[in-house]
Amino acid sequence: MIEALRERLEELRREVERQLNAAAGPADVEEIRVRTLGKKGALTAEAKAIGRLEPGARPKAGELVNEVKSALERAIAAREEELAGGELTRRLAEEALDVTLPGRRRGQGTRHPLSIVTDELLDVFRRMGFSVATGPEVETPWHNFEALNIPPGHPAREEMDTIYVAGMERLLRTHTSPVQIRVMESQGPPVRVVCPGRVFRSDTPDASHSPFFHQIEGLWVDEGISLGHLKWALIEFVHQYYGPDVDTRFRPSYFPFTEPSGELDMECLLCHGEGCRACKGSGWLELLGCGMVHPAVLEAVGYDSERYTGFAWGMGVERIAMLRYGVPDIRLFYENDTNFLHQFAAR
Amino acid sequence: MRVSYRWLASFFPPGSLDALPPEELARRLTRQGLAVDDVRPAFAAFTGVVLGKVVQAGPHPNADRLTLCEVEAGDGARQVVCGAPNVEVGALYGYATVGSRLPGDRQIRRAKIRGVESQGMLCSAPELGLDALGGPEGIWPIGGASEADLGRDLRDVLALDDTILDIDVTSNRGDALSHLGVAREVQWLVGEELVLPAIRLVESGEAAASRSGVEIEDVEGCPRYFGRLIDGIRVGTSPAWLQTRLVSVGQRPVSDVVDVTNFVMLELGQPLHPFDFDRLAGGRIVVRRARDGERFVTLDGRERTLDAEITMICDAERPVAVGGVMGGLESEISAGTRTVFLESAHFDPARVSRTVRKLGLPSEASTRFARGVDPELPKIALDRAAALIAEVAGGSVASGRVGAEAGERVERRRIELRLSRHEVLVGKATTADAARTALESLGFGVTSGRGDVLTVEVPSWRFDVSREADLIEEVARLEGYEAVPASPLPAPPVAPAREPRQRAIARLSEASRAAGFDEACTPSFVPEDVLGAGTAIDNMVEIRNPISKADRFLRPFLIPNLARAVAYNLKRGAPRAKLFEIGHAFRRLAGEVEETERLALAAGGARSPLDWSEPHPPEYDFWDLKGDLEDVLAAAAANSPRFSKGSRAWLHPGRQAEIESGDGTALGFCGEVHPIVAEAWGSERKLYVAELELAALAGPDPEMRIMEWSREPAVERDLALVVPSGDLAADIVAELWRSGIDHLKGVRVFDRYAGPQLPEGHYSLGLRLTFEADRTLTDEEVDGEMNRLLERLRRERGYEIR
Ligand SMILES: [Zn+2]
Repeated sequence: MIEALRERLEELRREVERQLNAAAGPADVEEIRVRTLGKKGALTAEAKAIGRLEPGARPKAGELVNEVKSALERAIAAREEELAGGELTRRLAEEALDVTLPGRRRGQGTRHPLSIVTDELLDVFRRMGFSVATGPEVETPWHNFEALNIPPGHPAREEMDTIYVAGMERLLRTHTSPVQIRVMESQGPPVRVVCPGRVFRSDTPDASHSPFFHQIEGLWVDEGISLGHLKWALIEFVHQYYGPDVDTRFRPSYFPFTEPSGELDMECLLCHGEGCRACKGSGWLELLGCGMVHPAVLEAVGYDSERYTGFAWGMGVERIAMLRYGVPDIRLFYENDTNFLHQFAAR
Repeated sequence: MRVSYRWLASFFPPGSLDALPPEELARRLTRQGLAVDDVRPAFAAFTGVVLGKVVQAGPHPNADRLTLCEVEAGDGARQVVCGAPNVEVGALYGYATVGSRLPGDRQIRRAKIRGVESQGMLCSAPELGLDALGGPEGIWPIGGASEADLGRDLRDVLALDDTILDIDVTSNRGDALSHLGVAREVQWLVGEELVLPAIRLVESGEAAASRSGVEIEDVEGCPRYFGRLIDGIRVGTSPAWLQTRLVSVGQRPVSDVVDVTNFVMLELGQPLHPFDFDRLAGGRIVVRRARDGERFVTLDGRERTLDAEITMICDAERPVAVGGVMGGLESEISAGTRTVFLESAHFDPARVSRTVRKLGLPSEASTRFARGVDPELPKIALDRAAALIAEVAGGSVASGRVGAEAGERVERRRIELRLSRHEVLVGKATTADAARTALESLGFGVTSGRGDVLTVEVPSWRFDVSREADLIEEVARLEGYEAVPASPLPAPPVAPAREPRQRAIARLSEASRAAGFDEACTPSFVPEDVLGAGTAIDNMVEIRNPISKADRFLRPFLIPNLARAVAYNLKRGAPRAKLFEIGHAFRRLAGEVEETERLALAAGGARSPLDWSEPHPPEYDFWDLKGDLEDVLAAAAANSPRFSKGSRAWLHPGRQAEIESGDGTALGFCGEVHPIVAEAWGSERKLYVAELELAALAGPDPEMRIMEWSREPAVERDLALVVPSGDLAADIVAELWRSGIDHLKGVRVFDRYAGPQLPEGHYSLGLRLTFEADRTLTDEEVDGEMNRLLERLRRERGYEIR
């Protein structure tokens, strides 16, 4: 009798294993499990039948049934896992992408090259101890001219090609120097400021002229400031911004609001001093105008020009940006073509 | 200012400039403050051209238009075929010998022309690269050359081997607008005294004063005025040496008399003016102020209206020249002029400058007078020019000058120069000896030197030197800026941080870029019809002297130019364009200009960048704009901004909003551009724009403290209200918040629907409410609150649930 049971169980186990092998998916396995181990399953029926055996045979029979049951449970679980894993692998395979297709960009905006250059320059000067000050673009003749030692009729005033507001004594500032005057009018020395901003000249637009453009000017006034300090500060600026090996040339010039006045030239970045078209063969590029603040300017804002001295300089942002990025025509800055603007994404 | 190297050298003893070849001289002058922009040969290169004389000329046997010439060039006559109509026997020409090379890589060979051998060529001026010279056509007779020079290289005869230095003379240095002025700067470099040109004046005949006279009424405008008479003039072309010299520095020869006045101006710096004496009524000159409204025809043929600030040169009856600026048509030198009245005067710089501006009439003379001409120069220049005119135009100079001056000698300024001050300002000490040497080489007089202080007398030609600092610059620039040691700045121990305003602007810029806007930079000018649709904008600031009609006003806000830039990009095929700009805008306000800083946004085209997974993205719309704007406002800490319906005529009447902050401060506006305006701005597609005032947004960093939030799970309830079409979403949401129900933490619109299932004139608004507490809320509790809310909405507003 036990022997008959053993054979039936063995037969059941072989049958279930055969079915498991044939199972195509987890659903088939589940069906097999229910059919075998479920409430009405084949093995469950065998277990229930044990109670009808004679008492002496029951322990042995129970042992046999349990043995097969745990073997089948293991086989079912193994097959289930096997099949489920295959399913996942297949699903993942189906989900594969062509990673060379372009990503979905949100289209981050870019900074304008003039802002980039302005910020870079301001950053260098901040590290040297200058703060940033700004002022209005529509100015009084006093701030733009008189206080800067440019009285009416002064040749420099004619050369500035000023744009005037109709019907009132106002003009569009021809340089950012009036901001320096406003700063000095509002505070006593020492003064250490850089003034970025838009300025205006009555120029017909062409590849190198625009009726509006941008400047950065700086001013440092204190006791004992000399041309030597000016020279150091501006050469230091060139080395910080363009690199420590860039050669400079500092030569006399003229501005009504500085005395002595000078211009700082920088070794041509394209030909390194050999002479090329960009530098008109000279090997030098004009970088900025500068000088010691004219005593008349200090006096105009009520500073003691015997006690205080200072230096000032000014430079054009467009020119620096044109050289830095190889922009051949100043009008490209104001055309706002996205083909141009998007090139500055990495700046 | 174009300077001839040879001309410059003529101011020094021969050989003085040898150590300073042109390139080196240019470098040194630049370092001294006279920036040399360019150094180039004065004339085109050619070789093998000598001075030749036509000794015989006859017809060519085989051609009517050709002439057979015998040309003597010092070593026997040669036969030359010439095609020019103006061959003259006995005249001197440039003779290009066989083997010579002309400009344009042209080589002259022995040739047979119509069967007759020609050994070389007689040259026209253009063939020698001297386009500005010679007659209207034909070969160029070398006037004024000597037969002793036959066979000599024409380059030597005419001194063509010269170099031009193009000097960028700064506006303070009127004195350097002449070869004499530049020579004074060179004096320091060569260490030799300069030699002024010799004046070989021969006076003859009746005194000028017996036939002419000068009366100065406008002493302020013209403190000095002198004249000379030159009789027996035969006006013609200048000798070749004079023509080539003028041409080398960019001056076009006119006639011998005029050429001499230009020559002396370029040589010494004194502008001169020649009158046809026979056309001066009464033979007299009266210098007076013009009468207001008086009219005058200048040399350029235009009639000008004058005023009392203008100095006029008149004869006994009428004006003949605008003083220091330009002569008149009627008294101009002509071919028939027999007697010249030559003017040499000094005019007030400010008055000349004003006259030039008023009449819009710059000239070589006025440029110099406006910057200041040496007041001691008129008599010297007058004599120099009179002698030269007599020499080249064959006249005789009448005895004596006529004229008048206010004070025989110009008072010279004296300035004290403290060596200690020099050291403070320059950062490098100098000695009394060094300063004296430098100043004296420029013509300054050093009258005394006691200890620290030098007393310096400023020469009459240096208008620009009036203070100690000016003298310090003179010494510093001659000693060289390169000699000034660079001294590190006494910098503050900690570099300054970014200013709050700069930080705020950087934040706004960053937020705009994060929202997909590229930074733009647009013009400050707009045309009168900014909106292009006839709708005027009030109180725009007008420009008195605009560059063009399109630039007549200052932008009243940034949008027009920015939106045009968006339209420009879309038109050029960009699938989308989103631009922002931070800049100034201008309005007239109570007789003043109100200038505000703005942030403007403009967008159009596709909502998102082109993407293969969404080939047809929706167009950017009002909600995209408002969302972008809300992101930007959040970055400026302008939270819970309020949008209300706007009414600007140039925006879509139903798609625009005014924006204010939570506390009611106006922030700006936004909307869809009216289709008519968009079209005027060049866009067929919809344009969306916004403009914000920075003053309200770019304040100092606001204080902030974080707020607590519940970590208990939130409970959500959706609500679809059926409301009348006129009720605004924002008001409904506000009503929910006002309802006073407990634990409400969030209200979000998730749907808006209008359709046939709803009652006429109603729409449905889907709202998601979030409830939170510091404990877990039960469904019953939340349902209770919802019922209270619905009851209230029904009662207060008559809203139904959908
Ligand atoms: Zn170069």
